[in-house]
Amino acid sequence: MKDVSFGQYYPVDSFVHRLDPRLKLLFLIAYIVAIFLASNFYGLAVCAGALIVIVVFSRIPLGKVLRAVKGVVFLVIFTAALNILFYNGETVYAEWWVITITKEGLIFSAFLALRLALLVVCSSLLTYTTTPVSLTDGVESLLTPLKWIKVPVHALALVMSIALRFIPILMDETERIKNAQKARGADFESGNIFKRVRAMIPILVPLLLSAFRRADELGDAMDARCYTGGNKRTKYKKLRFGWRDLIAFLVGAALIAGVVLMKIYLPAPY
Amino acid sequence: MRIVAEHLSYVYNPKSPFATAALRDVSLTIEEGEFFGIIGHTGSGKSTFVQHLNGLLRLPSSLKKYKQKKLKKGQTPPPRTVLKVGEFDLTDKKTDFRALRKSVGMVFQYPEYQLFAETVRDDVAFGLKNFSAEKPSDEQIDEAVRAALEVVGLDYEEMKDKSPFDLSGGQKRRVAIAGVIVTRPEVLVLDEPAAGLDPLGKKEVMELLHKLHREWCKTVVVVSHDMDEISENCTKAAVFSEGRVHCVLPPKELFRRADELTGLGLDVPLTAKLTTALAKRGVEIDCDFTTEDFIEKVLAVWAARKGGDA
Amino acid sequence: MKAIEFTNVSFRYEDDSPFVIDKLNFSVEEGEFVAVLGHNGSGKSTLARLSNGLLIPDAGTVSVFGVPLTDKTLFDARKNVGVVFQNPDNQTVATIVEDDVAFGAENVGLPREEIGKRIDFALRAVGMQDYRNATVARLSGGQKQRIAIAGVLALKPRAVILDESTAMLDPRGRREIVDVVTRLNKEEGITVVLITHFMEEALLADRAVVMNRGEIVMQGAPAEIFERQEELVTYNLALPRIGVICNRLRAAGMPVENTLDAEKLAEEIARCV
Repeated sequence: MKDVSFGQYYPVDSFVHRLDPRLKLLFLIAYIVAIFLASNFYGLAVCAGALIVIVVFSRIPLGKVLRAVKGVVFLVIFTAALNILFYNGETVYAEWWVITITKEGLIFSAFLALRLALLVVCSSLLTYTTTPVSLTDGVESLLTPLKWIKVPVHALALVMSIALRFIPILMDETERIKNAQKARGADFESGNIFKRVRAMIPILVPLLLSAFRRADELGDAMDARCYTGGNKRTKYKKLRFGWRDLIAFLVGAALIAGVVLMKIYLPAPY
Repeated sequence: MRIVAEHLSYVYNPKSPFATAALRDVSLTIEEGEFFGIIGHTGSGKSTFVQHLNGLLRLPSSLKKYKQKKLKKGQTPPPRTVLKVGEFDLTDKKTDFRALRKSVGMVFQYPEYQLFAETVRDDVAFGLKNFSAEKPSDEQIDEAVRAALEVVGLDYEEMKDKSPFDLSGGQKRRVAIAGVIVTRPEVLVLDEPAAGLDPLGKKEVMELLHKLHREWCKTVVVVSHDMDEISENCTKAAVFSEGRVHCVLPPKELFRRADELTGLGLDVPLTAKLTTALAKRGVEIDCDFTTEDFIEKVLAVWAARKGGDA
Repeated sequence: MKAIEFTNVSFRYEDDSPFVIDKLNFSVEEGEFVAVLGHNGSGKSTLARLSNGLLIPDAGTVSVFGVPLTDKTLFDARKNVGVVFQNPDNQTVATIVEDDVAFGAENVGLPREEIGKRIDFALRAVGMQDYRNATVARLSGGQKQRIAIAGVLALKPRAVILDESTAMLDPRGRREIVDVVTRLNKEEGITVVLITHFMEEALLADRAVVMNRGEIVMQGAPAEIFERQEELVTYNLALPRIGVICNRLRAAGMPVENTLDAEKLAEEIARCV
């Protein structure tokens, strides 16, 4: 079994696991707003603190959480590096050709990297602690108003949950096909960009064919189990807003309020 | 080429809650010329082992760690991992893995799912083009593809311009195998080559492997969980269980240990079941567990008994 | 009552292609356990898809528990006849076992409590009650197929068709599935149609049916069918090894009874020598 940490549910029983998925979704949105509102390190520190609390309550092992960051570490370093090198600040530490490294640049980069990391950790916590089914139920429930303007909310939610179910399978499959072609001497690592794109064909064609075949079979299996769309359907797992959700809601609201207050009353340190 | 593995270990997802040791200290030698079977359950490490043979799974970083880690007093150094395929030393990063892959052909499970080209000819030629130092001429390609298709039992003229996706399941699998053997590898490794086929298809694939063993590749390594396949075809077999090599024996000796295999949750071939059941009834059949030999020995016992009666 | 009945059914995938099923008459009694054998392309999988309206015949009628299949009766027919397919990975819609088993029951609009009971029943019937909250992806092939069967059972069907559901499994997985369906048939009284190309699996059935080119060419008690070994070979069905051994011993003049059971064959041989 290959390592597919992104989007994978981590099955333990915890406070966070039991929260209403709608609340978790809304909290994620609010959290994202908060980290972008936070204009200084105090604000981010509060956000980070809140996240640490959530991690503790979710009983997800720290390694697992950090691994989510590992997936985007390149992106974080890349954007941070760009900012360090090209940010126009006043306190210059080093200068070379078009590149200047300034104090402001460094701070801004650190800020950005932290934001990104928090963002990724918070979103992966959502998928770690929420089964795809309840996640899609949450999305479906939150999007219900859109049904009024004839948006096929149920179908969209189902597509999302099936996608989540099949991501690991298709990732495994990609790996398998890639290995099979490598065994036939395929080279995916050398040459210019065009050559590399061309080299992907022996992976993409079988992968697409397989995805279509799987879709076809899954369709039959769903039909055979009386699937006819969302109309007559009932749900085994009802979403319920309980006392846990109330606590989480209050904490979330306090967090946002805190960040906003800090933005107003504490001047930015740079 | 002789394949030698010593103290080989491999862990998937190291340092994670899903860390699984797929291989634990595996030592195994496969001599040149063998039709070698690798038996075990799903998850016994057998697939992981064979993927090392052409460098698709690289030797673990733990090798480096062993070197770096300072030994405490009195601690013996961990045994050195060895993995050699012929002259290729797979523990050496500088090894030419492309050359290795050319010599060790690997047919994965359901190989028909790797077909991608527009025509059968192009698909079979894929490996040939990849492994050639200079671009092969059209004539060279034609010749090699023709030979590969013919050895797997397909007609070149009839097949070459067809789309691989229009073929029947059995034909697809043959084309996929042709696409691996086209470069004439010395060692051919196949992971469950008969999986998903009907009994007739299974029989045909096993016959094909014997033909390849005779005419094409010196050594054939087959991963399988079908004991009948192993007892009928292999010169020697290794039993994998929970990442370890339980034993390496010729089928004749291996299937005498039917109880042991059952203890590992593995099946035994029909001929072994029958000899055990017969032994319980006081009839000793000393066969090598192939169908042919079993029938012969049973008939011999019967003839002797009849002769004795007369 | 007939659980499934085909009357003069013909079917082809495209208008200009040959018929995959040709004027087929075939029926399964309620409570029966039927094995359908045939080589690849003999039309046996098409048979499964015609039985619950996944495919619509070009001619003839398919009836399910006395009701002819039409657009209007399709939904009820599918509730009554569940189909389990070949690939264990392509049948589950949800990531968690119980969510997947619930899928069918949710589709037919059952109340929550009832769905919960159905999940209990279905998981117990396939012996997977301890895996209710497990992740499907981490199960073995045989376990995944058992979940697929449970997903069908949650609709409380009166008949279950297994369309080569054992083909991709290892021997252990195959045994698990055959055990489960045999139990469903004997204990729950569910009609079972087991489509397979392994003759050993057909042994447990009440009746075996051999298909070739869209027609039924042989049928009867499994033991009887397997006696006619030469005929089977002409339909591209390879004999199981034990059949080969029986044949060869008999051909050499040894008076052993034809059997596909190892213990019994050993008994027979011991008797002769």
